[in-house]
Amino acid sequence: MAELEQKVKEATEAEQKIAGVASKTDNSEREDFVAVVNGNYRVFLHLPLPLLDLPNAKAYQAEDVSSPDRRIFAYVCRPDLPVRKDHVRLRAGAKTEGLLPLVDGGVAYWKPMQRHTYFLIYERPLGGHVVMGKKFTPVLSKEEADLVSKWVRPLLAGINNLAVCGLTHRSIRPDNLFYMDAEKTQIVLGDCISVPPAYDQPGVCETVPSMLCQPEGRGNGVAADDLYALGASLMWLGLGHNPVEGLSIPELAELKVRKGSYATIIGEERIALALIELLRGLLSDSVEQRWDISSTQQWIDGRRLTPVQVKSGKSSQRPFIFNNQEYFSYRSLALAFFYNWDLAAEAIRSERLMTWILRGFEDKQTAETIAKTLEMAVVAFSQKERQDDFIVSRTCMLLQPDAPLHLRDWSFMPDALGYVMGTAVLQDRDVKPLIGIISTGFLESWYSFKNDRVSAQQVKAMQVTLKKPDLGMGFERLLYETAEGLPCQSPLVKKHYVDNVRDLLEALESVSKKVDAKTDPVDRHIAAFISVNFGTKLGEQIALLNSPKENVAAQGMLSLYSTLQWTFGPEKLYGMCAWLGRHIAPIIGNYHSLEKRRQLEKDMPKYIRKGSLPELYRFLDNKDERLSDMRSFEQARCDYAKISQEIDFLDGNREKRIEHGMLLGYEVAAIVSFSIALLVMLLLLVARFLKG
Amino acid sequence: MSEKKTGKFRTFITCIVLFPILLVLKATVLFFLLAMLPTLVSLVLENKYKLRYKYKWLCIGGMNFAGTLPFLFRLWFEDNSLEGAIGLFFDFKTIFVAFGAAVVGFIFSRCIPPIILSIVEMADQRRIQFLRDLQRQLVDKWGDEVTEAPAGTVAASAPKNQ
Repeated sequence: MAELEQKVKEATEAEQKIAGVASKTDNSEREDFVAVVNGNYRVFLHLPLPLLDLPNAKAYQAEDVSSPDRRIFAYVCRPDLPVRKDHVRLRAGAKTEGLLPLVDGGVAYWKPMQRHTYFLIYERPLGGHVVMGKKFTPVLSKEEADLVSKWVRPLLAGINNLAVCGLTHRSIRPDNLFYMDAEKTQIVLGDCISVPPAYDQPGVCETVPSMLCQPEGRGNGVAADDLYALGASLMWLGLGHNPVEGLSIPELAELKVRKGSYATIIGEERIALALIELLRGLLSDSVEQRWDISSTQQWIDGRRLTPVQVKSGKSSQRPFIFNNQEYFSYRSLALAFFYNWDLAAEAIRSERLMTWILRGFEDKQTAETIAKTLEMAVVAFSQKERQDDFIVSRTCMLLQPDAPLHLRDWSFMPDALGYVMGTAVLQDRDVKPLIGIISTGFLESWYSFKNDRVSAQQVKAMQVTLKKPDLGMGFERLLYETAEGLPCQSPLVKKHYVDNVRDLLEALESVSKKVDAKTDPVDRHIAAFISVNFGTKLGEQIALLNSPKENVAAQGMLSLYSTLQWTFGPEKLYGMCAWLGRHIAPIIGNYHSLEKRRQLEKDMPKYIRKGSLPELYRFLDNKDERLSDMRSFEQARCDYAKISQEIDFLDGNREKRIEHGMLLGYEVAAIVSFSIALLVMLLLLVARFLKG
Repeated sequence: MSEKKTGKFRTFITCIVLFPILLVLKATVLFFLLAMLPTLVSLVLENKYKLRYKYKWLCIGGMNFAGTLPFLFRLWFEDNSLEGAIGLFFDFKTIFVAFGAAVVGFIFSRCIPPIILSIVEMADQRRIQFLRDLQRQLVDKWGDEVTEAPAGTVAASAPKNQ
């Protein structure tokens, strides 16, 4: 992580340097400092907007080329974090109440990073941030609390509009709220797309399960998570500061579990009476008890609802002592296990835990499940360390069912699997533990405890995919299937941020000019990226790629890329043709006729120079000619076999041939004898006839 | 049963046809039998020793017949009686010509088959050479893969360089 921070710091410094240079250059030379997104939006590197910056996305002045009067700006996303492409897909170009209007999103080259990255183009909030920093003058002071309903309405509308589209915001916090108009009357929720869901969220704005996750593992969650964050944000806006600012995440989580979120966050603070009921409803730790959108809407409309009575979880009269601490409930103990992983396994294996569960809670089912987990661990894993991991992970799932999936350094909600995998790959982290989580039953267990059979079945399908070693399968396929819009991670095109299969060939074309021609044009990432993003139409080509026969694999590769060029363009790919030309020679071997092969070898450079892969493919793999070649070859093989048989008969069977020759000789001799006899007879008859 | 009956019937018919001929042409038959003795001996010997090629008697027979014919003509057109036939046969010239011709037939049976065999062998060699050239042309056109046997057949050998 320190390395990552260092990288970010270096990039920021480089960016500032370039901005400095840009400010000193002439207008004509400033084009070097402009990134063009989707051919229509110009982002100006030398015009940063630090007041709109997000923790992980810097803001820059932008211009809509087709409509220069439009006030827009751009967020430059970090290329080592996945972007929420589902939001871009569903929200781009649409103005939604309560949300910062997303104009568009796309990839462009960004000079400070010296690579391509993702840009989000938003309409500019003219009123700026609602608040800046962590401490500010309370926005919802006690006197203005009556106006809170008018103020909350657009934010709730934003959450609701996202929920209607099946989306969640997951970045609701005070410093991510904006005034759209200069008069500061129209409030909207800021960006939530540039980073994985809830990546930048402070602990206070997140529920306990979400807090326990690694930042990229919090998942899309549900609208209830947004409402919790809305409640926490309202409280923060009302107080002007975060009352739990000084607490670490484990301390805050422990307090929230022990006292409940409302009590933990509000504590001794004094807030407007009007807000109490709303905050109690929104900050409920139970998803079932938490106010939903309609309840909150009713409250805004003036209907007063029954205050939520927080039901604390079942507690035992006797404590369970773990790590010199006393624990009375499942949730608090699960949290302790969560943060003391190495000590937990021993505690779970001990009889004390069983006794505590059976006597303290009379919960025979949980005790039996833990006992079963101990047995399963022995069967499934040979190493004690692995067994311990399995036992602790499953016990945590059992004791705290809404907790994330946890395994040592990895902790995430299963719906964030795509983001976790994507981030791990983007940041070059070791993904073996993740593969282990999917393939060795951790993920399956999580869904099984939720009785989610459909998802458990999907995990089984993932396990099957993981086991397949073929190109287009394995971890890479899973990566692109679960992380929507993740750019292709092939080392060849990684820096080009290819998040759309349409752009792959152009990226490869520019790579082809620098790459060593011997490098294979298709690797595991490219194959998986294409097969996931192009659909099943290329299944045949991917299957060919996996053929052990060199010529078939080369044919698959050429067919794959020619289909892509034929479907998406561009019209000419000179570099790609030359690069592929080095790898497709085996296709010529598909023809049996040596003369045809020589002809193809002779003509191939001509087709390579044309820059059209479909043409090259048609030239090398003309189906009619290949069929005719195959037929002729089969005929030739039959002819060869027949000739061989005849040679064997003539040459390899001398005794029979001698016998045949002798027989023929005798026949000839007999014929000669009788011919002479007949001739004599004829002569005699003629002589007699002449004599009269 | 039916085959045996048919055979007996044929023999019976043959006897009925031949017997009158034998009676009418007894001088010719006697002369012919005597003059064709080498052929008869050859036929008997071939049958007795079960020789591999039963063509020798045909060679001898053909020439023997050719040698006999001029004298048979003389018998028919001069003195066609039993005495005439016996007298004609025991003429040195008759025996010399008829039996000499049989000897020539014997020589034919000894000389012609080896000559024909040599010719056949030469033709075989030329044919083999021609076929090998054809195979070489196929290999030149299709490569070594063409020597692999098509599905369901036994693999053929590659052409030998000669």
